[in-house]
Amino acid sequence: MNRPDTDLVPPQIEIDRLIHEPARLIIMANLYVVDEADFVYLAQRTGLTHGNISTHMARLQASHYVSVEKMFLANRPRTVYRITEEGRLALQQYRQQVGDLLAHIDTHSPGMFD
Amino acid sequence: MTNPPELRELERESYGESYSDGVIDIFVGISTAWLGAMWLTWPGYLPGAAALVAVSISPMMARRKRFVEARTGYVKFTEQRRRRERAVYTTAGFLFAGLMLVARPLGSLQSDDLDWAVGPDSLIAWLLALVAVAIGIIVVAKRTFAYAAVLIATGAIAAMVEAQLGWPLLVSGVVIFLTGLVMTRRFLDRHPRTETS
Repeated sequence: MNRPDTDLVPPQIEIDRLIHEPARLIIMANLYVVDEADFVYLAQRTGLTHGNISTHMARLQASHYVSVEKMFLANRPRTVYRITEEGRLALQQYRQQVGDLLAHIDTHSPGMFD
Repeated sequence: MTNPPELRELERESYGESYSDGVIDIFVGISTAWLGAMWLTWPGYLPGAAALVAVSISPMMARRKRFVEARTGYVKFTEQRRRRERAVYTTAGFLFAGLMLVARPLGSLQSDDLDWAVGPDSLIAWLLALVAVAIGIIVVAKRTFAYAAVLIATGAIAAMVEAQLGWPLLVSGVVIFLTGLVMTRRFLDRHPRTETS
């Protein structure tokens, strides 16, 4: 097996660690492809517990990647989440960052993933 | 908004999953079987029967929405997706209505009158199958291809035995209804009702 070069992650490639966390990544990805969704929908789609979602949403909301609105739908209270433009851009940039990182690894350590 | 390929697949999968409850299949199955039965028994009332189906769609969809959201939560897909969905429903509705309007007068003709290889009844069944395929492609519901296959098969059989369109509709309706029942059962097992959001 090829060993990676020590210069594996160059400093110019910064991974957004807020999105890099798997639970937040899957939440962001699911919100990216819809206009809005509520708590229950996200729990169903991600398989995360309600507690997990609450914790991660608080982090995402604090960074303005997600907006939260409490509303009434069909006379029932709902907590509805939307990804913000900032969040969309951050996810797009994260995708680019990961792509750049993998390309860098492939260049410096060819065959690493074979 | 254009999604990258992997997110496009996620969106398609999410959207397809939102139609996994089987309620629409049950409704379409009952409606199709109902129209087939009317065709066979009281064909003169077929336009009224089709109109009854049409006015039932809106209340059915409202109840379905409440039924599904109580279990899977609330989601609003993108405007692009919702526009495509509206276009599909509108087009399918007009096509179906149009076919029902011409079906009886056309079906009363014999294939010899028109010098066609197959009877008009079978052609209408196959046109309905095309509608099902188009819906399946756009709303990401592959099972509609199976429904289309049933319509094609029953239309072919009707052509061979010179039967009326009522039989393909009745048989297809029963198949679709039973499929919908199975889907709804599985949906209820996967998504127990939740009160929280």
